[in-house]
Parts: sequence; C-alpha cells; structure tokens
Amino acid sequence: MSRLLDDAGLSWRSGPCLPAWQSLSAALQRQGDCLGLRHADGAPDGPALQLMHPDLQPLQTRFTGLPALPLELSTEFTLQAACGLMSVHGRASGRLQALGVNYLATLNAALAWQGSLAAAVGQLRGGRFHEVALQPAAGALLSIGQYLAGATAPEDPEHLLPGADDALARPPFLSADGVLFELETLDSHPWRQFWNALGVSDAIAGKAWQRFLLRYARAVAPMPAECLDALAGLPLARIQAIAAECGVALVPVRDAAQRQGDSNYTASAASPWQIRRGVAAPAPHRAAPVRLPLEGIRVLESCRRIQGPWPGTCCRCSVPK
Amino acid sequence: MSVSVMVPTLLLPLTDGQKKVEAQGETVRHIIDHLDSRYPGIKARLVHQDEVHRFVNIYVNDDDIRFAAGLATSVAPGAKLTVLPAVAGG
Repeated sequence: MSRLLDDAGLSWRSGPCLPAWQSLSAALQRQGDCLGLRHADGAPDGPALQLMHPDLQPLQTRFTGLPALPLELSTEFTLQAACGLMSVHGRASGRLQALGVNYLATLNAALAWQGSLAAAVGQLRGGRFHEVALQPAAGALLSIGQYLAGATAPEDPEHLLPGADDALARPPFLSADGVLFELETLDSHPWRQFWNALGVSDAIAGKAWQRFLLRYARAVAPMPAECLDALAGLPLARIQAIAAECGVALVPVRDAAQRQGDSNYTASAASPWQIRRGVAAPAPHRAAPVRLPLEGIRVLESCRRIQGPWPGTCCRCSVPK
Repeated sequence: MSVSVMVPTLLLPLTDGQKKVEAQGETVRHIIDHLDSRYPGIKARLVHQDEVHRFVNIYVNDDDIRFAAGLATSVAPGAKLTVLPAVAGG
C-alpha cells in the first residue's frame, strides 16, 4: 500500500469555502502545513478540501450546511450559538458566552483532514471513497456530545443553564493579592490535605471535591464559599507553598501574551504530530472496505484518560459517502 | 437493610448491564462485599488492599467516603451509594 504521508506526492487545495468563515480556511492551511503537505494551485468549485496523489482517484471533503443554518450563515459564532456551545460555556460564567477562540473552525478543519485521509486510506485498500460530506454544525454537536447526553438523559437529565449557579463562586480561584489561579489533582488525598491546611473542614472539602471532579463533565464547578474565602485571605505565595506541600498542582492563569513570551513557546507552536515509518505490516487478506474506509483496521491508542475516548469517537463518526 | 447502588458505565458488564442495583450492609465495606457475592469481580474493581482504588470515588448520598470514614463509613437504610470514576483533563 502506498504510504501517503511518506513522500512529497500528496498535495491539497481548498475551495473558496465559507466566505463568512475565513477561520476555517486558515485552520485547514495550518493543519495541512503541520502534516507537511504541499498546497497546490487552483481550487474546487465549492466549499471543499481536495486531496491529490498519483495513487488516488479524485477525492474531496465537501462542507455542507443545514436548512436552518445555511453554510453562508455558518460562522464561528453563529455555530457556537446555534449548536449550544455558548450555553455550555456560559454555565460557568452565568450568561451565554462564546468560546474566545476559533474552536469550531479548528475542530472542523481537523475533522475534514481526518475524513479526507481516512477516505484516501480506504481507496488504497480497494474501496470506492471519493467524497466525504462534513456538516460544520454536526461537528459542533459532536464536540458537546457529553453535555447533550447529560441534558437529554432519560433518567435525571441535567438542568445546567447559564445563571443557575453563582458565577463568582467557581474556579479559577483568587488569592488575596488578586492572582487568578487553577488547582489540579486527580487524587482526593492531597485535595483533602490542602483544604485542611487552609482550615476547611473535611465535610466542606468533600463537597468541593465532588463538584471539582464533575467540572469537566458538567462544564461548571460551583465551590463552597468556605473554600473561596480561605483562599481569598492568603497571598498566592502562601497558597503555592501549601499546594506544593500537599501535592496539589497550582498554575496561575496567564494571558496569551505571557505565554508567547515563554522560551518554549516557539517549539510548542510547531507541528504537534510526529509520523515515523514503522515495521512493515503483512499484506492484509481482507476484502476491500465497502461501508467505511477504515473498517476492519485495529487501532492501538495510548493516551491520557479523558482524551482517550475522543479519537475513537471521531473514527466512528467520520463516515464518507 | 437495603441501599441503592448506582453503577458506572465501566462496571455495567459486571452487573448484567444494570445501572442501579440493590445491596445490603451497614457500612460501605459490607455493601461492596455483598455486591461482590452477587456480581463477582466488582470488589476488585473498586478496592485494593482494603483501600478504595485511587481514581475511584464512592459517595453515600452526596458525601465522598474518603472525607468520612472510608470503607467503614456507615450507610443508613434507603441511602444511595454512587460509584464515580475520576475524570480530569481538558
């Protein structure tokens, strides 16, 4: 089988897609560069990402809209609003709030690349995969799938609309000298020690732990007032010392400009992927894929716990036509 | 006395797919032992050397047992015991 990413033969181009959403085109470009792919001249006649390689038949991922949200009106912010991201993000701030980055552009660009490359692999395996359809709105819904599941569960559905909790009683935390910071630990023992050292009782620390654990599952983590008051009475340096003693990670919240000043920023902004040639796999003796381009392929994945299910979900959801 | 136990998705294969099961016992330890007698293997997924696994959280009603008496935490009749795997990251 051809190794698409090993040589310089793979190129791509995108159409004049989504005039209202230039961030998607920019994300496609950025991710194509990170993959080391060559950008070709010319353009498809619509909103699409095309892959070209001597071993491939014509292949493209076409972006499509919904009747209620045509592609021409699909911007980062209209999609965040229409698909519920602003509501989920607003659970913590107390009001509908957009994510302050081009989240859906980046996500949908990644899905477009994933679908295109999956279809390309499907072709090389003998399948007939020439066009992938991607609805940016569907990508948006995919990204909040866990919250939709919680809100529409048949038993005890969550009702976590913006404004349901005190917008000020939540992480990030605030020290007496006005520094915003985050705490992190996966273990209740250091968490308990930390709060005990601040004079917070076990009962309150336990309630805080439960809400803190569910922060990523619910997108909101209202903290007991006792915890916030304890932190607000101490300077950051003292809180840092206690956190270090107890084994709790503490990270001050910084802005983008501060991050860009770090010595490792440039390296971290380079390609996130490293692709190496592995041991040659034995030639498969399977029939060509019919329904899905990657069907029958077994993927070995190693990752941190919460990130683990995400690639698997994407693999199942990338369904070329 | 009987309590309700809410089973996380990861353990559903051990409870024949039941999300909510009934168990007997006066402490969390007794309840887990009783659960294991009905659903063999579940105790090993929750407890190691008489300690709750590090990334498993058990609540009696809304209270985390680690912030009470651990496995010795008493459970009143009719209480709800919830098993919740830890989740973090972003």
